[in-house]
Amino acid sequence: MASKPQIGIVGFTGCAGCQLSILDLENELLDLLGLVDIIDFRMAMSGNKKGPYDILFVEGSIVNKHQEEELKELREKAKVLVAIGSCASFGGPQAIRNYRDNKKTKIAQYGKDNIDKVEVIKVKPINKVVKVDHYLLECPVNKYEFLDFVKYYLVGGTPTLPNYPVCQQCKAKGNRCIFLEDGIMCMGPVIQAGCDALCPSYGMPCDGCRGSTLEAAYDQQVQLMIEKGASVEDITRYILKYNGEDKQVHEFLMEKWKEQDKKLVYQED
Amino acid sequence: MTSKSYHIKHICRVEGHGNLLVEMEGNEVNHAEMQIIEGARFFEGIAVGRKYDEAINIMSRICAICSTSHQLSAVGALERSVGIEPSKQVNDFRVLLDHGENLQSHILHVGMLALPDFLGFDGVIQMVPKYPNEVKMVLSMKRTANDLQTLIGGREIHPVNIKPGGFGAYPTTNQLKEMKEKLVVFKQNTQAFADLLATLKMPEFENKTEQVAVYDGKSYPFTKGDHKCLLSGKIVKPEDYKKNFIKEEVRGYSSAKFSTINDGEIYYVSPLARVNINYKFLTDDAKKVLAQFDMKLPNFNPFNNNVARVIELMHCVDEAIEITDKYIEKPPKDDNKEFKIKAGTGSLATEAPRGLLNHSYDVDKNGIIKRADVITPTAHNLNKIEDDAKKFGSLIADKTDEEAELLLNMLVRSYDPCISCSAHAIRIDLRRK
Repeated sequence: MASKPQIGIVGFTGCAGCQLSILDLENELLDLLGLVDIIDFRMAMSGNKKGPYDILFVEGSIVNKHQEEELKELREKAKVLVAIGSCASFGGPQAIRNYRDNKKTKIAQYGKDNIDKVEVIKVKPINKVVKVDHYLLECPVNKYEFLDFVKYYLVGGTPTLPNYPVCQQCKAKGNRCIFLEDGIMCMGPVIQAGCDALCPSYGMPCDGCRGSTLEAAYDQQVQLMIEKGASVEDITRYILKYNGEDKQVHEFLMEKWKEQDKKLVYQED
Repeated sequence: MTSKSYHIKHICRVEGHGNLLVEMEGNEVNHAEMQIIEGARFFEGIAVGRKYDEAINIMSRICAICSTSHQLSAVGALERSVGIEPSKQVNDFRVLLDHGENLQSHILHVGMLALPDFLGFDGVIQMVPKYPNEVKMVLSMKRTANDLQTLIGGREIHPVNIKPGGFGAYPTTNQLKEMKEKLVVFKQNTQAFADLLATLKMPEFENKTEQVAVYDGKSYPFTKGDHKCLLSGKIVKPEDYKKNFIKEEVRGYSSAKFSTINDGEIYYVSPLARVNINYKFLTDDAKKVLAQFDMKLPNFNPFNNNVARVIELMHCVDEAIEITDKYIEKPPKDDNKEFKIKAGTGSLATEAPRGLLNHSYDVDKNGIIKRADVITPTAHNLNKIEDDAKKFGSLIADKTDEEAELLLNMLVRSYDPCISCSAHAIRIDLRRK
């Protein structure tokens, strides 16, 4: 009998929510363990093996040189490498600081006498360091997307993510549109679906944690937000939350929106 | 003198990345360093310039396991900054949501991260063949706790339903009835789990330092209250947390800050500190669980945190059932508080599953955050962990390397450290000279 796929689940800089989400698969965990071998999952167990992995799931963003080296070594040992969650995919909330003066951020956190004690480089999603084979989205990662990926892998395929915006799932659920009707700033029109419109279903606006949908219409989104009363600074903040290193977000902010928001800066390495 | 050196990289079964360095000379530990190697994320810096209500979701990302605590602390502190007090119903549902987190975090820690140490396994995954029923029970308890968080917060981790003044939506009566049934089963399982834990022996160790927990003199509070010190009896208002009380310093070997109280005094926050300070206000059945254990109060053995967590499982499930019953009788109505934004400062002291959590914000007249300050439980405890490592390390000097390393791992784990939180650690580095 062929051996079971060897799985690793590792975390870099983030909140560990994606790893915790996998542990939250209580109803499926024992069945899953019958089908794969989890050989590396430091948050959950001791005695971990550093590969070789059939699939390596990577949570978190890269914030120092040491992590860059470690990630490169892990990539060498992984047949398939999967980014899980917003930090690994798009930098996560900490990537907000890529658009700010690093020195000011350090002073706010550690005080002006201490800034030399802390190393700070740009926050990177993992695809800025290694090749990524697949992305599983949401903040924290959608655990069913994770489970689907493993199931597809076991039968020899990869799942496709929905390439349409949150609005589509929101409409299908029959939710009231809080953006158009109440003027609550909602990112649903430009954000990738897959969460079943979770936040709008609670009457809360889409916060944007799944990254941009295919060919996201940021121009129209911004126009609509202005019509609903958002200021330039408001709009920058709404767009720049989880996805600072999402390619579409970065291009929109630095190529177009910078003309409106003159304070926008971007830290190069 | 005998010289010896250990080097254990990365403590497992904790959240985040860090090391503990322990240097020994003969039978004495002469130096211990808690090195938080988690990459710094600068959350307080990120919060500055954001709008007040965005802090709820952003600060939540400091840590997943405590995400509900961070959201409740942020929303409560920000409500204080604009001068609103939410309704009784909103407070009840916040406590209910918070208990979902307490139950989830405690069962995850004791059942999946700590229990393998006491039964001699690498992790819960390795326990499955020999203890299938126990693992299934732990998983079903964890599922119920997560269902409670999902019902009230919308998601197990990083809730989506909390906003200043109230909630986005409330559960239906039928959903509350279903939840109640699950909580009743959870309570039975908690008793079975307590019976199992009572058969295990916690390592002996005592480190008598000051302990701090949130206190209101009438309940066993998690979501708000004053600070109370166990030994001195000192009471400090949440907004005065840095006035002659908590002082933070930056050390070069750690991306988390180290804290002391009253000018240099080491202190301790934890479930055990809560039990020590607030045991009078535990529910009757939680007091019965306490009586099952040979644990004299006040208690100074950090390993007894595992006992405190099981006591709190009973207390929190009791309160969760009580609140659920109340709103099955009288279904929740929409009573979110309306408010106008104004400039102000708001501070809150809460209890995350692992202990005291402080959030404090200055907001300007446009609702923009001008200052944010967060002290997490693990950051509160870093000095205490180092102090414990020195004292406990000396006690176990006669053990084999393997035994000593395991015991030091267990010591750090007993804090259920949330290292992402604190950096906003753990590799053990034990050197014997």
